Amino acid sequence: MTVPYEIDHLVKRYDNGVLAVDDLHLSVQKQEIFCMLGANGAGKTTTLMVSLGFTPPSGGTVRISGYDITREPLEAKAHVAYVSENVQLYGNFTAMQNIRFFSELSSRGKMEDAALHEVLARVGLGADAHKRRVRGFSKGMRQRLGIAIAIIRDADLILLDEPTSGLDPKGGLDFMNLLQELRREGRAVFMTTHDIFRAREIADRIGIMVRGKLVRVLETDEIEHADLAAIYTHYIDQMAIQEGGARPDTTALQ
Amino acid sequence: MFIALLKKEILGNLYNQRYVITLVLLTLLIGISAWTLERAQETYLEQYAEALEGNKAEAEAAGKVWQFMSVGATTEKEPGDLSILGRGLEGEMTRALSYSGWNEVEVGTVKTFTPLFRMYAVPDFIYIINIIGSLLALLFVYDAVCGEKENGTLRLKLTYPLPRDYILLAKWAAGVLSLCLPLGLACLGLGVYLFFLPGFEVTLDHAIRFALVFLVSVLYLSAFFTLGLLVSCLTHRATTALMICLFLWILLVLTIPNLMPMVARALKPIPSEGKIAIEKQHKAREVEEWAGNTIRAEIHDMDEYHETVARLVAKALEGINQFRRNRVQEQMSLAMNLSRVSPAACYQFAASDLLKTGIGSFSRFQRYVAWYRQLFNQAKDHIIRRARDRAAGAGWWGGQDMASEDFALIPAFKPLGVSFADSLSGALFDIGIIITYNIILFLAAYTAFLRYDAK
Repeated sequence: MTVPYEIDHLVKRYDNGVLAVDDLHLSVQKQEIFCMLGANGAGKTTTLMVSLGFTPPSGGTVRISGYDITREPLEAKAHVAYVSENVQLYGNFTAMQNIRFFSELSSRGKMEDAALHEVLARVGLGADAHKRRVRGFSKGMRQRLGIAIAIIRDADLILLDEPTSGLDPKGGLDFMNLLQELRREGRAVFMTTHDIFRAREIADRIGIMVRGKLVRVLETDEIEHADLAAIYTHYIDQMAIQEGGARPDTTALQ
Repeated sequence: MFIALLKKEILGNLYNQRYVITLVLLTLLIGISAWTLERAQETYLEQYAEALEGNKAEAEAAGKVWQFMSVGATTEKEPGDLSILGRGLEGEMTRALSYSGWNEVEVGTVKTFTPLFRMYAVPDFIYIINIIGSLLALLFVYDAVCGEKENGTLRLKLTYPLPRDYILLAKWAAGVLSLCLPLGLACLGLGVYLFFLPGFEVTLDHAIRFALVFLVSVLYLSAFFTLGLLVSCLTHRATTALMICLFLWILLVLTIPNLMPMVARALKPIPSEGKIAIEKQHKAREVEEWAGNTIRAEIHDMDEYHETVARLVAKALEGINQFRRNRVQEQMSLAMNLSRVSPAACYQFAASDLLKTGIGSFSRFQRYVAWYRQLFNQAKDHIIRRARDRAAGAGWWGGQDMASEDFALIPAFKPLGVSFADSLSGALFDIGIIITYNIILFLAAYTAFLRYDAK
């Protein structure tokens, strides 16, 4: 059985010498939600950018459903969906026009309008919003539309880059419920976040990334009892002492 | 997938405010320009007919042969039928040309129909496409890639299993098709307007020329669109792309075509009219002196002597004229070749050639004018010989009245029409350059987009 997401000793060093990802090694299985915690600049987004083929790795590999993103990018992309922190779509188009366009681009192919309406309703976009131009959507509505677009790709793996930041509490809760549904459907979900509480609520495993390194992975049974904030702060302090540098901003975790 | 991308791009263009402005502006401008220039053309034709009558009356008023020698004949070129669409060098060709016994043929004074037409020159179809169309094409495309990056949609799109060439090709094809729509609508409207215009007979030749001008216009706008696409693929901010596009537009459309003739003038200077005139005077005096010292003794008939001297002077002056014409031609060729760096110049050359108002037509007209001069001189010599025969023993022939048959000897001024094949062969080189620009710019945009950082 192929693993939806495998990162094998991934290294990413930028041209200016900054080591953004340092020997990252992890995998996400089907029906699993993996949350990656980390402060700004920890390397979470870089990991996603490499995983989506936007930037080449300096070392190691990323495989999506068995396909190496560097060597077989189109095959790999056929099995992944992505939702960014701030979903941006075609503002001149309606929600339906946006989702229809992206459905036509997916490997699944064009879908009937009825099915598209159904997906939009599933993410909590009311019928009146379907025909509205996206330009007038709130951030929460755009995030919902973004997840609807990700759902219709029918991908094995869903990559989410801090998807709940800026959402109101209800929006965040709805979003988490939706992710749980996706997990039940058998998708693998990899989500980067600052939000310890939501991560604890939903994740099957939680990783902590500090300065490009995956310093700790908490398994399902550890998550419930662990003091995540304390663990995270501990790793950051340790790293700062080792490197003799300043401690990263962890206010989001306090 | 490609069709989906193409559909989306076209739909996106149709929803774009800038596109709607482009559509309205192009259609409106071309419509207004056609209407205004057609009105002007009517005036040109009326005044041409009046000028013909006037010239004939003026020639016939020369009762004596010496008067005819002095006044000569004034000729006119009929205004070009397609100059409504592109004036080109039409203004240089439709001038009164005066031929007389001792004056050289000169391009006469500029026809001043209505001075205001010169003050507020109406932009014709070629001008609108050349200047405004190119600007609109750039403004339409400058954020096609960098704008999508800025608003994040490019990143989302690239997470799909789409080859990048599909994305770029769809953008290009949709953009060019979208530009064709306002242009096509405007051209269709223009065609219908001309078809139903009283007094304007649309022939197959017109239709083919017009269709080709449309195609060349599409290629030209496509070149600027592709240039804008390249800029968009090389930048990451829409404002930067816009500034670069505006700079390139000023450089390619306004600067190079106007600067290159000046560069050519500096590289291949032509002696000034004044210098040439002085040189001619010296030459004429030289020939006259030489004739006085040599052949004067051999020719006893004064008339014959004067005629011989005039012929020798004319021959010597023709050498100076030819030298000047060659220098003008060399300078013009250099200026044209240098300005071909800009697609705007290539378009101007190709489209005006197809509309019979280009450099090719102008050169052909110049050759006709020189040839007509020979015809006129032959007729003049014939008239003088007849006068001399009539005057046998009754004083100088110049005092003789012009006979009515003499006027019939003056050849009609009828420049040959420019055949479609000639126009096409004149335009083909520039069309080829515009196509080459399209290919090179697209390949450059493609290469840039393959390396484009969409993060």
